[in-house]
Amino acid sequence: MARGAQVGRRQRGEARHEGFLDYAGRRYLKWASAVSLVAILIYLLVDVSPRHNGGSWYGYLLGTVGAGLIVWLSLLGIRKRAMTPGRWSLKAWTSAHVYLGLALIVIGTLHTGFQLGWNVHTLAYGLMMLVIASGIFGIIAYARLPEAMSLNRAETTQAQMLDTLRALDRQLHDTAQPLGPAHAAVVRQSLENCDVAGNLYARLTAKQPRCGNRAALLELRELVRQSPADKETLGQILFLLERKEATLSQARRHIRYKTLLEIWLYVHVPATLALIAALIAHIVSVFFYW
Amino acid sequence: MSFVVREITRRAGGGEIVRPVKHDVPLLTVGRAADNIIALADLAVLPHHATITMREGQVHVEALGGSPLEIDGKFFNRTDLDVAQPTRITIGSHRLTLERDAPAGDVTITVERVAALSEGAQPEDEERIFSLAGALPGKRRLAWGLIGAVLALFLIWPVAAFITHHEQVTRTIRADQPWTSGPLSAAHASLKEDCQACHVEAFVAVRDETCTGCHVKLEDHADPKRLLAAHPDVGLEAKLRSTVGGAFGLKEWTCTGCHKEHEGATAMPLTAESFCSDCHRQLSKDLPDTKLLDASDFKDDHPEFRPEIVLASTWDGATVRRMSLAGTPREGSGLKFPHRLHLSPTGGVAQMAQRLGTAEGGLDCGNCHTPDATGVRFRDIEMERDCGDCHTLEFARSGDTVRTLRHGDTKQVVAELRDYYRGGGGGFAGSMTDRQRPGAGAQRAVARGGSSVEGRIRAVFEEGGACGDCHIVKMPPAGSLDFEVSPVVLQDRYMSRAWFDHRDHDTKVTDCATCHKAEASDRASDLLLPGIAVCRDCHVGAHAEDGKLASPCSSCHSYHESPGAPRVLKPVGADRPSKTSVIEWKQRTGVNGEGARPAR
Repeated sequence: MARGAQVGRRQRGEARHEGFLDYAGRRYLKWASAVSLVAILIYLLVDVSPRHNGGSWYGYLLGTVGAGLIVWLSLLGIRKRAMTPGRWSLKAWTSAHVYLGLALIVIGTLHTGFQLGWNVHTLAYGLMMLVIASGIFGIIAYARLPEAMSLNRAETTQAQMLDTLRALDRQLHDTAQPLGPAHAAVVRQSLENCDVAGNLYARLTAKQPRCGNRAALLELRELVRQSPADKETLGQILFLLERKEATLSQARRHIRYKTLLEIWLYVHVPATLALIAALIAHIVSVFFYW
Repeated sequence: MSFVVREITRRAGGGEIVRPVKHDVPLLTVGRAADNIIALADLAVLPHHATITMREGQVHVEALGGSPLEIDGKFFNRTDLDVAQPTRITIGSHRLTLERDAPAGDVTITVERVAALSEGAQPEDEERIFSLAGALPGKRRLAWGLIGAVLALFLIWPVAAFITHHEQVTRTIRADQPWTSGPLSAAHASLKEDCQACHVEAFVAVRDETCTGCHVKLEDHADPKRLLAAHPDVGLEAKLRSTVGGAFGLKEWTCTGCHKEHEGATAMPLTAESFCSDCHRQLSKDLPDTKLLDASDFKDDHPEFRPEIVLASTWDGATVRRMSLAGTPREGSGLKFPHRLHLSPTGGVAQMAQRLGTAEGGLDCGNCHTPDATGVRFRDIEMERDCGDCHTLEFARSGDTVRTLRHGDTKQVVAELRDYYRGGGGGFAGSMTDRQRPGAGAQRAVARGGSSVEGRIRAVFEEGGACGDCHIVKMPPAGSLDFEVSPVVLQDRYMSRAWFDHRDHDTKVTDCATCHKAEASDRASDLLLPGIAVCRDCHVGAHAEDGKLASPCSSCHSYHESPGAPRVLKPVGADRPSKTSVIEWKQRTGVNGEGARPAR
């Protein structure tokens, strides 16, 4: 039994993580490819009059299969909350979700017969493609980002990053106590005008050009260059500001990776539900005006 | 009276530590520098920020660094305070609350940090900072919003409009417009604002009665029982089409089974060839008593044309039969007419045409054959109009009066001639020289018929005479003038089962002779119709190939056959009637052919 042999090999220490993409020798990739190929072949072979669209017998057939697939695919959202092992494990389900979801591109597009317009039917199609595109983004993100994220984090946890920043802030605060108002104001920028995460754009780019810490660092360097007063204190503060800048960069890169890992779901999930609503409107309207 | 300073420090795990210290001095200094009595470790506070003094029980505060103090939301550089009620002074991130202790009269100053040391993250912020939940509205809220918008706009509104405005056709904004699956065809474009013109009842597929409400004169293709009998078991695809399609309301043998709407704002698409060929490919097998021959594709599987040919004509009626052109059938129209002679660019006919100013360089088709009002076919040949310029029936002139034989009435002709000759006529040979005609019968009769009246009349009817030139005349026995001229029956429509439109074959593009080999025809019995091979020079089957025209069945044939022209009229030019008015147009112009009828 091939299956047994595989398990045996793993037991000998070749433990290898098998992701949902490679699950069961990409069984569902094969299934999805077969379904897509058959759908395309039938599309090319049957003589639908006057031309392919959702309202021909084949169009209705593809529509039914597509709608069924969409409902099943969206059930992953419910299914994932219950983890079970084995043949019907969540991993198997996710693998099927990904590959059959990709097959939906073929089934849905053939269902349209390439006839698109400004109507509820194309809205449903557009939402479906948006959901699939965001899903593809998600797969790519899941495949590539965790490694980069792990490299960036370098054994630190999110809590540790925040702890470090808090400790640096306290040290900055304490060290700056003897400073005059002008210098103190510069340091306060780092303490009071420094958002780790920022808005969505800042999260996606990991860049905050107006960050108070950066401003404080640049201004203080300039001040130190201009006047030798308080050199020791200011030197120490500069060191702290630089350390904070490094920690901020790391944290922001981390946030960027996490944002990329999460953001597709903010499209995928609401667009899925909007798609189901549009699908209902699409189906009802088609049969309402049969 | 003294100050009691209560400094509050918050512990990490919650809870406060309060350290009250009594100061028996009249003046308290507040600032970041360590030498202040109230030292605030706060970078927003100046090293020496303010003073609080007590003079004769009255509390007075004064800002030192020039930046005003915020006292209960208002800003002061210096002011007296009534501390009977708690008074709050905000300095940097700290708050000082001053209040007089009633029994002792001491002023308590509670000092606490009210803003965090930095805006840097607190442990409880980890989720907010590292997850997108902190930057975007929740997925659930977004989803509900989208669901609501989509359902409201594209489902609830249209359905509500359908229920409440069922009868009202014209509305400015139509809620059901986003439901359309594509533009209506040009024929139905006027209905685009009124979905319910066709979609009468909700959840009921468009019914035939709705179509026939406007399309009133549609004939059935055949007896429904014969239709079903002829419908063969045509393989997997047809089975799928009927079972899967049937489950979704796609019924065969309905209007919408063949005529598909919402396919674009052009003419309605032609019905696919398979709708015809499924049955007609093997009709002889499925319907053995049919007279129709099998056909499935114009290029590859179509019999030779079988026009309705007049084989013989008597005054009791004509013998008309469908015969294949493959057998080179001959027409029996009752006429003698050599096309070759008439079309020759040289010779007598050409010279006469030129002399009469009818045509330069010989006759052409158009000199005799003129299109009918529609341009689809040609007018019936009328002797006087189409032949009479040359073949005159004038036989005598006296002064300005010209005597003419009456065409088509033998007895009248005989009577006319008899009266003329008996009255001493016959001297027109000289007077009519300017009216010479080919075979100018009456005139030559004088010479050929001798001097007897009967002889002269007979000569008119004889071969070479005015009548006998073109007509087959049965001569009566001597002594009788009871001539019998065979009736002429010219077919005005050879193919009533198919549509041929001469306008589609414009003579500017296609010469008549391309299809009709008239120049080589010596006898009237030659059938000048082109065979299928000639059509196939330009036309192929359902799909265009080699630069030839796609010609599915419906190019020439109509499913809804009528005694007249098939209903399929393809718009080729601006002068063409629009498809919607075809029926009306036919009624107006009378294009519905009446079949063969004797010409006068």
